[in-house]
Amino acid sequence: MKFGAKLINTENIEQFTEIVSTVNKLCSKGSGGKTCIIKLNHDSMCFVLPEFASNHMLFYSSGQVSFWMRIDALLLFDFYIFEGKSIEKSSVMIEILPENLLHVLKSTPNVKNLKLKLANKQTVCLSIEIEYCGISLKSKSRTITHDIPVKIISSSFLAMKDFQEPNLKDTALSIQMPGLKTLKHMIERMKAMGDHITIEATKNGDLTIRIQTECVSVSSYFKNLPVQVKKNELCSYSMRLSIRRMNDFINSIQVKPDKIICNFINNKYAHFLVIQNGNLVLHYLISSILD
Amino acid sequence: MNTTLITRSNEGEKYLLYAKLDNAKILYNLAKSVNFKEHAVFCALDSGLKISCEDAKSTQGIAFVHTDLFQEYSVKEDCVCIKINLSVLIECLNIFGSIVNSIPTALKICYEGYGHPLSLLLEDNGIITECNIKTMEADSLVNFEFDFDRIINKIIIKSEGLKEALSEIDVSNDIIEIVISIEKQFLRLSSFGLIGDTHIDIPASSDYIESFDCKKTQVNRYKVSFFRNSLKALVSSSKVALRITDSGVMGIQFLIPIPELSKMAFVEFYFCPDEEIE
Repeated sequence: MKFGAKLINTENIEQFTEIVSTVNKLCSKGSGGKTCIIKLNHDSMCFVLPEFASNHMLFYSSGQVSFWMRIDALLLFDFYIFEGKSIEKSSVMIEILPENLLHVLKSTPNVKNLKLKLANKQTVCLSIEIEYCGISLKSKSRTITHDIPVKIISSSFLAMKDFQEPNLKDTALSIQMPGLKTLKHMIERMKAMGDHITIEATKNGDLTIRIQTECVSVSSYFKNLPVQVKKNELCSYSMRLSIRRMNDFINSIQVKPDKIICNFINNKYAHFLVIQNGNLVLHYLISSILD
Repeated sequence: MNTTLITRSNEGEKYLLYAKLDNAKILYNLAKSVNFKEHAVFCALDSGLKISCEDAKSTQGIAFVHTDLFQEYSVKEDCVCIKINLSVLIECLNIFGSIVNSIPTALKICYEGYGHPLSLLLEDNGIITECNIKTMEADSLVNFEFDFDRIINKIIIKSEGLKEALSEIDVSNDIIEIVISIEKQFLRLSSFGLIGDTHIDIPASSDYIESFDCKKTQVNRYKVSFFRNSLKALVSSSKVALRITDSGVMGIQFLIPIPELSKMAFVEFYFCPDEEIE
């Protein structure tokens, strides 16, 4: 197995840091521990919560969340190579604590470049070699290596298919959400007023976000949003979600997305898609509150 | 200016209270300045909106939004009073957050009458948010009977001066002593903490003091928390008028500039002394 990645471009380093920051926030709100599984492929990296292994959203209890994220490694990294052990084992899964990785990436601002590789140092580690710029023009740059212990998840323990991208084939309607800033403010204010939020979308591209409590009802109307109707059964679809979960999701997004799409699937869960330039896709699922 | 929804002017006809504000932030900031308790009495008078908040019948904060500040304002009865959850009203007014240099959020307030909710319609960049807040019967507020005829001392001070003075007060003790002295011609704020006593003297001749009208020396002690309730108003104000009656009742009036409209608003706080010292 061969793995090596390098980031030289400052923008790419920042973007990778934003991605890891997002993963860290997403994991810290998960129901399991704070670990995450990184699946390395020849052209991409996928970040998944361990409990996704059951491959289905746990619909038995409401208010559950899950996420799956893929980044286009060949686009993000300045250099990236991954070769599996064999044709059958063309990817590897490693379990890691994202906050350790984030801590390293945020250590100082004067990063010149960074290299990632897997190394065996007493235990298997994700080894990050960072070259820092010299403090003055004359001084030489310093290199520090951080080793983060990881666990290799064997493919016999968890099937590769358990980590496939969540499918959207049962989607009835997809609508593009309003801008992240507006959404963030609104959800935060609504969180101060109630526990549950209702999201309703129509075939015409109208979206309503509503909370209703004993004391107040607040409804926000968004019109003319890009919409795709996959199943022509109903005129509108609505879902009731926990505001706290919605707020956790919105606040986890540390990258600058091009669009966020809300997919309505059988009213059982909200399947959000956060897309950035085609080089990052984040699926975030929140199961709905059933009355 | 956002005008897509808020254009029909005959619409006000069916409401007991109907008001339009081009910038919801104006009402938001004034309402926030008196939000030291969750509920407040919201009164629509001929002259404007009055938001009154009271704590344990010992202190009262009133924000007044004069009709001048509204683009449209109509009230069908002399005085329409309702009790609402002020914290919720404030969250609603801020639903779009605030992005600097952008077109302000437009607001429309409608109230049909007894049994109906207080309705707020906010518009920002084509997005409309409708809030319906449950209304309750207005409790009778304590009438402080702040007798303007019995004011013994009145000081008008620049807000920065009062801000500075209050920040020096040691809060380990919950009492603040205010002395207005005719002999020494000063305003003294004192606190008596565990470590020692702090006295801050602002002489009448200070640049901060705009007017010092003292008829008799007074020493009064008040709860620090009463002053703390008014901090938000102090921070957004340009001037403060401190007025104390012969029985030591304090009436503070804050002058709040509204730069967007080149107008002013007033927020007032009233509270009784903790003990009287002769």
